Amino acid sequence: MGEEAPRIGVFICHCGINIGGVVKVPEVVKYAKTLPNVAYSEDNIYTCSEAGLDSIKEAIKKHNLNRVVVASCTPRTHEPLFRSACKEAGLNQYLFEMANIREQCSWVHVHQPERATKKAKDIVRMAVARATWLEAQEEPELDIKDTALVIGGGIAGMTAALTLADQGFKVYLVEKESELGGNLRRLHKLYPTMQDTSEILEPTMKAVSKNKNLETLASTTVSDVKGYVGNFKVTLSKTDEKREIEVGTIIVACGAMNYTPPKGLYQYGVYPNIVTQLELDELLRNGKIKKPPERVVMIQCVGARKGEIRALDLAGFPKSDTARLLAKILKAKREEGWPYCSKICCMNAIKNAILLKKKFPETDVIILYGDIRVYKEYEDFYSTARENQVKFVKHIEEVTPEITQDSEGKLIVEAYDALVGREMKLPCDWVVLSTPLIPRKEEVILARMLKVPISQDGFLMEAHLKLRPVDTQMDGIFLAGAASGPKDVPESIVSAKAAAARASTLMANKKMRTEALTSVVDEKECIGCGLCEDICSYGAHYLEEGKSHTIAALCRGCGACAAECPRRAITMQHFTDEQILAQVKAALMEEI
Amino acid sequence: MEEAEFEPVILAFCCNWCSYAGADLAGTSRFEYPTNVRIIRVMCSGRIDPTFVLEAFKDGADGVLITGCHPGDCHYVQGNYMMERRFAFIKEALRHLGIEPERLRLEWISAGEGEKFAALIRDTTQKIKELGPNPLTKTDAAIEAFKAQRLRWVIGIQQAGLKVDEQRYKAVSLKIMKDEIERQMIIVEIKEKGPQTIKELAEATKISPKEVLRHIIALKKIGVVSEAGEKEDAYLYKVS
Amino acid sequence: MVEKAVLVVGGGISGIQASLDLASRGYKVYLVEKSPSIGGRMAQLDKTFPTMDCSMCILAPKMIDCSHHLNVQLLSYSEVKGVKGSAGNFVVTIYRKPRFVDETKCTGCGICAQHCPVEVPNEFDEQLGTRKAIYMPFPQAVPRAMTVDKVNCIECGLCQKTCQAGAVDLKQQPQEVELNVGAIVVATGFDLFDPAQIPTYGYGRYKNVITALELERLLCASGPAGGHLIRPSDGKIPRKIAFIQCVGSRDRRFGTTYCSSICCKYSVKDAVLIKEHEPNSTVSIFYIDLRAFGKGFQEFINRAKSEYGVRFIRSSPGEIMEDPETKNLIVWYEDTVAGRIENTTFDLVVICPALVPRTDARELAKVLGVEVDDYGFFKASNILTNPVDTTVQGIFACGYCLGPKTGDIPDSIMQGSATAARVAEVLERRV
Repeated sequence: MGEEAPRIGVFICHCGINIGGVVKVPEVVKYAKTLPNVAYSEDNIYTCSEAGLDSIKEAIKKHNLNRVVVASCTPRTHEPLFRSACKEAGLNQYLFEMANIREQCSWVHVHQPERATKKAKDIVRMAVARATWLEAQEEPELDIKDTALVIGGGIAGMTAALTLADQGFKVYLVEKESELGGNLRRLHKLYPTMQDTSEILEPTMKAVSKNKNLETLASTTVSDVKGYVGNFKVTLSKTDEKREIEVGTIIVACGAMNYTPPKGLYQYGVYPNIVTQLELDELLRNGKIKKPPERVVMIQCVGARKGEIRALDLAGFPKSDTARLLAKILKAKREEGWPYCSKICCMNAIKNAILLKKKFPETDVIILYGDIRVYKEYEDFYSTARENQVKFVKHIEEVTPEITQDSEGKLIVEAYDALVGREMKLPCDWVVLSTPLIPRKEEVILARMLKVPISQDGFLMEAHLKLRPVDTQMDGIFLAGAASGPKDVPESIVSAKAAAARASTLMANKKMRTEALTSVVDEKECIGCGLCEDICSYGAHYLEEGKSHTIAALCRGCGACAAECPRRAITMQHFTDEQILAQVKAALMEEI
Repeated sequence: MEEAEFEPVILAFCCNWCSYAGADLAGTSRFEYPTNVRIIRVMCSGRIDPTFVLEAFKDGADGVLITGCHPGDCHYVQGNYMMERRFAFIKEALRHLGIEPERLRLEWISAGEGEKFAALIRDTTQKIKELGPNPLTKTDAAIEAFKAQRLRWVIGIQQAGLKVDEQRYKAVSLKIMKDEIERQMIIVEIKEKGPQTIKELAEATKISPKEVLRHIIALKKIGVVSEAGEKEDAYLYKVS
Repeated sequence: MVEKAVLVVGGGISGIQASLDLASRGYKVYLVEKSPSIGGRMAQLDKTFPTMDCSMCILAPKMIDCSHHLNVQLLSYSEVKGVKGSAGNFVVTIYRKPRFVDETKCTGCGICAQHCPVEVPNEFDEQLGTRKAIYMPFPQAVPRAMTVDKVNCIECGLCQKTCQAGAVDLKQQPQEVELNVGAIVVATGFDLFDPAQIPTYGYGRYKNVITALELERLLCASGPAGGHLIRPSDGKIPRKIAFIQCVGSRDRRFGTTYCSSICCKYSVKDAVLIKEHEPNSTVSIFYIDLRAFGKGFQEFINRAKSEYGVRFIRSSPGEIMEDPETKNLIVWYEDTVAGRIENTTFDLVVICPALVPRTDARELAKVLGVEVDDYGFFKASNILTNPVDTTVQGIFACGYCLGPKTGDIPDSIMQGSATAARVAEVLERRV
């Protein structure tokens, strides 16, 4: 509790009539004065106003307050504001507590003013009890090194590295292959401009090699990561050699890979001329298709959007067909595959369809789809395809198209036309399978090393799907490109620049304040059982010489270690056992 | 004469990121609910030590509600799973103590579920009302048992991943909890009423004399109790 | 080429004696013991008759000698799996069970056991006391090392984490060791007849009907009750105790028609011990014949009667019943002297069971190729001239594994030394 006795100031807010209209605020003020350790109490119309904040600062000085309780709205809105006020008045901001008597009292007990007032008193009493046990905390400051590591040398990795290097930061660009470029090396043209990949790849790679701040390490992988934001110690491996580097931030741009169907799926690998879209790109790029094919059938969503059998509306179909259809569906083997939509395959298929039509105008190009997903401004692209006579046929996806070969070696695709309700047999020369982008196996290893979680679809998980798409739960580690989910080239570039921006902000500031909410281990009690180390999602505990220690920079203050420690040797700062139990007791004691 | 209706006092532990925010949303949306609940904010439901719950019952709470993020959504990745695993033990402990386990409840509330929060408070208040006031059974023994290394370690090992099959773990761990609570009951009894014989301890704690003897032998082995004279053809045991 | 090495199977007092004599003679001795520690039955006893020495106090120095003797290699927690060859040249396969603790590193400090959360009944205390899943069977164990009971272990790893010597190895594998020896000495000892086979005595159903070995553990100062005699159902101090002799002995039903030869002795000893603990108690011994042969024993019985007031009732009780309220026991018997059916209520009934061959002894006999007698004890090749030779040349036996002719501890020790002499004869190439 500190050397001096607590002198608590209690400020009860009317919040206009939001609180005052239900809770009898003057009564609560009067009650607060009777509580132990309360040296001063007042009410404010709007405590968060300038006047209210000034009032707090004056009272701290005038009445020598060493703790402040504000009873008003939820701490999730104004706690930082009130904490700053305390700080300005010379009071450590962690000696501040809020009592939520609006969202959790006046606003939900509008028709019970008597009981709401009693409840408000209880809540204030609980806050005062906790405040009695609060301790001043310092937010540790971390030095941030101005060096960055980019893992992965595809278009996203190179973009992120260049963006940072151009700002003057030293960047290590690590690529496991012997060449930079990633998936773009295999692709032919990019939609919607139909530019050759080399038009983007070559200038980028040239810029990378020329930049003096950028050190490219090809044929290199990351084998170990230790440390925390601003101070990562990374071990790089190249065949047998190991090298340790120290960086301030890490951008993960390890990308994704194209799903290759297992042999036999849609007869891939069994009959010739059954390829993936990526393989088609390579064939077109290398001019391998010499003879104009009669017909090319592309099948969408191969190995994607699997696992759910969606409801079918069979009302429109002729009865006889319905029965056969149903039987087939029920008998159909559930295809193995990935549950999500890979976003870019529709565009990619259309791109290749247009390319084929431009090269072989007489060839019949059919795209079998369940849904066509051209998004953003690509609707025009879809129109262009149709103008170029590319045929789009919606088939019943639940019935896996069957591929057979006739006596002359022609491939036959059998599927069900969803709009007409009829079985169709399509003889063709090529079958192109549109397969999704899937996570690389390396992601699991990286995820564990970096303590970045993997989401349900297997990609690295961003900190918040909406609000923080390039951050991860670990400070200082960012995601760029397809590592966090399927993306096309423009999206990859944008995400890479965003990740670089986030990383550069951190490094430019050179310092960072971390949470004061960290765990502290009492070494006398600790027996080195290692439970804290095992359960911490952030790797914030480590054992040395049979005792546990906390890495404050990694601790996020969740308190699980404190609750689990068999010796009760861990204190969770600012949410200690004493503080919580004081609230429990205060909540349940009779009103004095 | 009018009989005042029993108004339970319910303590709710809410995690900052999901359930506390959900409670706030109930407020912002003006969903009304009874005034019986007192909310204690923690950063994560994983923070909640079993002793907090038991102390709450000791201090007279008629009901305890623990709320956290939905499985998979925990802000700290797996805190809510840890709470869930602890929960089974606390429920069993309440059963041993003669407190209705229904007084303790665990629910998942997301930040967007204001209505659900309000409904939960209404439902919990009603259910606790029907159960009546806290029987005020002494929980000291359970509190001491949950503070001690043996039980805490056994609960903790399932958080990091068990190496033996779940059935066996469950049987062994619940037995350890039962033993620890009963042993603390014996110690509390001796501390409060002075040295007693096994027969007296059996009557006071409602544990069978055979089991009391087994506990005394184990407590003697670690030096916690020892003989302190004789009475009616039996040894008196004191806390060393 | 004769191997100047000997295998001794069984680390009880007679095996220990044989090992020490052989080692002092200059031979290499491999002492194989099935349980985690040597010591055998004598380690479980409280006091030995008629001198009333503390049993562990006189045993422990010999155990330590075994562990320190340069010629003795102790293979504890191990069993004999196979034997090939003949006298002068045996090849023995020993199976070393994993104790999951490195004996060379473990100091026996016991910190691991303090932290282990799993508590189970202790076999050494005849299930009356408790031990942990990582344990030392008793404090004076040799080797002084812990053992992990993997059956009850929940693999939490706390023992490993708290061991300061890094001695816990939860991945330890069993080992098979081949030994070349010139002779083998069997000293595997005995088991107690299971009184549950006589349902009318209620053993196993009534908590306060115990065996004499269980009584020894209760009386022992290092036992579960700390030497304070209490009864198992409720911890009361028993004031009226009955001993029932000859349970399972001389009994055609169970094939144990022999007299175990020491039960009378130890029951009188235990009666005296109880009287010393609780002078106000009444102790009654139900006997058929009082077989108190041996040095100093008749004098001991006389003292028991006159000085300690132990009552001797010549009768074999027919039935024991339990009062469900008090858990006291009602013993029904025919008083052969008075010629009446009587019953008396006791707080505690101690059953003195027959000593029977170990069940695993038959297995060992098969492995060794030696004969056992009709009862299952190891058969002497000639009971008169070669009392410690088995039916296989080069394999000898000592102690109670030979059967009731072994009498008590001094006999076991004598036989141990005798086998040492016989082994020397073989190894020095005499018959």
